[in-house]
Amino acid sequence: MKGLNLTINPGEVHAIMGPNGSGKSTLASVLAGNEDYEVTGGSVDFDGVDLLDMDASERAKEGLFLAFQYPVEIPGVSNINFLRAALKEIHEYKKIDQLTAKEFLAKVKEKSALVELDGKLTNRSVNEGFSGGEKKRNEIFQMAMLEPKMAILDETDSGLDIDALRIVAQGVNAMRSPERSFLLITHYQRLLDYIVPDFVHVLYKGQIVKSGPKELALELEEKGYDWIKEEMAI
Amino acid sequence: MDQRRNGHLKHQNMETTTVKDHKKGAFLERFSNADALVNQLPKLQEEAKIALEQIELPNRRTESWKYTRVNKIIKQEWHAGDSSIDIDKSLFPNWNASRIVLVNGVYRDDLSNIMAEDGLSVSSMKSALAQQRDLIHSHCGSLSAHKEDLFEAHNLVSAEDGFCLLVGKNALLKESVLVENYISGNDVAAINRNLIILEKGAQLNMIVANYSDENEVIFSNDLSEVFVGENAQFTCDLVQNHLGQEQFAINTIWANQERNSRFTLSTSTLKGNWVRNNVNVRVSGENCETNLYGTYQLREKQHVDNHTMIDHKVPHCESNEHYKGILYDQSTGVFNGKVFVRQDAQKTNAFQQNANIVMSDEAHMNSKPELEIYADDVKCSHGSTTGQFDEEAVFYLMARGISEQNSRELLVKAFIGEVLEKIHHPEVKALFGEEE
Repeated sequence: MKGLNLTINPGEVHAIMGPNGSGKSTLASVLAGNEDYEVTGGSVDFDGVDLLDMDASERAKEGLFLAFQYPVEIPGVSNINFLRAALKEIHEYKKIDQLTAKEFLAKVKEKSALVELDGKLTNRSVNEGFSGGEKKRNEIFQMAMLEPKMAILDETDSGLDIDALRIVAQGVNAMRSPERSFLLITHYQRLLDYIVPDFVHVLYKGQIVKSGPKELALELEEKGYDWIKEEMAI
Repeated sequence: MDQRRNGHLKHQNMETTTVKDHKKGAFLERFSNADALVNQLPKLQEEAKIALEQIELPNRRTESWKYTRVNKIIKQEWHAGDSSIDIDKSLFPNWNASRIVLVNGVYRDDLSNIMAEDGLSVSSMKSALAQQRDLIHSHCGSLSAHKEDLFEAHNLVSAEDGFCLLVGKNALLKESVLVENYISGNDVAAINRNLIILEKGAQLNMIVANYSDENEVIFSNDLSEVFVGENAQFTCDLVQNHLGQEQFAINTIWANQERNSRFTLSTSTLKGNWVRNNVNVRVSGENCETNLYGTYQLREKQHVDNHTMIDHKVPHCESNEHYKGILYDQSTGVFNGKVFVRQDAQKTNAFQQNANIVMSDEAHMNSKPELEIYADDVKCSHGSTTGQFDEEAVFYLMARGISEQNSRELLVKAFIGEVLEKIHHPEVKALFGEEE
């Protein structure tokens, strides 16, 4: 990242596109608090708090969600138990009432239906033995369970067939609200046919070099990134 | 010149041997015991005596002791502990079934509480030797390797008590039996020898818990011979909780299985500065099932060594072995699992797995699975993995709002969980913070 400025208001959907190696996934990792990355300068104001002062868990508790590009398989930890543990901590943090077992299970049922995730999968170990599409749907299911203020979707569409993409998009669209923002990181304009963004940004060499309305994505799809590189050189 | 050097070297070797003999002699001298059980078992006494003369102290070249040092045990001035002291602690305070209590290797009638149940008989080894002489003569020492292993021979010549538990023919014990083995005092050595006999069709579930307190210097050498009769079922959860720094515990189990029987043992080392477990099962009858499970979570300079041996002698048997451990700080672990599948043992299914997570650069794990297969129609597999903690998984859980500490605990539990779920007694699972 080399000096990136971006403001996302409540309820907005922003898409970030860019060629390989432009820093898209780095941005997602830095925002979520992956300690493999060191932030040397700047700040991230998240609804009044600086995210950079917090570890990944505190950021999540503040309402940030990252849908992983490569969801991690965790043998021995069931999807349900880990979500229960996460919700418990988030509720404690926000000082709101804990869900009863019955409320929790009702929520699981409702949210898994949203992404057509089989009940068997919700009880299995996190992502273990899931297909690529199931893993991505599981990310959206978790997002629906945790109801974040802002969600970053890191190439959630990559490698998905059209049916899975439609299901994922349907889950995201159902979650859109005036209070919730999204940052979609993607290679492909196709995703944006299903999840229509308010803004599209082009990331190149760690900077946002161009921003525009959703039509910018179509232009990128058609012409590639070279014209932007040329425009920059001028 | 060469000759002189050779001569010099030879001389040095002789000297080392003498020093070692002297060390061994001084160590064994401390355990000479006029009340030892073996004094009434002359044949075994003779066998052990010969073994102790012939077997050298284990050193780095001794294959079965390659990673576990015994010098400190040999050097220490051990003496017998007070077996009459009061014991006011238990990991199972609410236990309301049969309880056997040993204090410093001696069976305590006053603290033990044996429920009247059809087919169950329990006594001290001392009184069994007096009252059931034939039973002891025919069983004691018939499985153990006191002719080959120094510490087994040491156990045989030193033990003056232990428990003898018999489950009669077709007796299905409804309630589990708890054995609590306390060792307490300073520079105290506790040596005991036990017999567990399940007759044909018998069923026994038991918990064996070995304890020693903080700030005490302890050595224990505990040996049990388990006879699982035809169609009998034996399940045991062994718990080890040695809280002090200078404590050395050797725990040896020898089992023999007759046909259609099941032997299941879990070993949970909650804490132990220096622990050596030997589990040996001879599968002598067809259609047997043998299950060995183990967990260890080692911190600081703890050292835990699990040696197992399963000997498949006959066809149509199955064995499962699964040991999992986590090593923190400067701890070291050893796993050595031997499985023999003899030429006659066709259609054997033998599975063995040892998996470890090493949490620090200074922790070490030595894992050695050994399969010796002489039969040609068998299904056997073994695996050993030792790796680092999955930091990606930690980040994934944290990114969902779970604190770092809880994320790590969740992952540790998940890793060990596969073995924990094999533990039979909920009371033992509860010691790991699992819900009953």
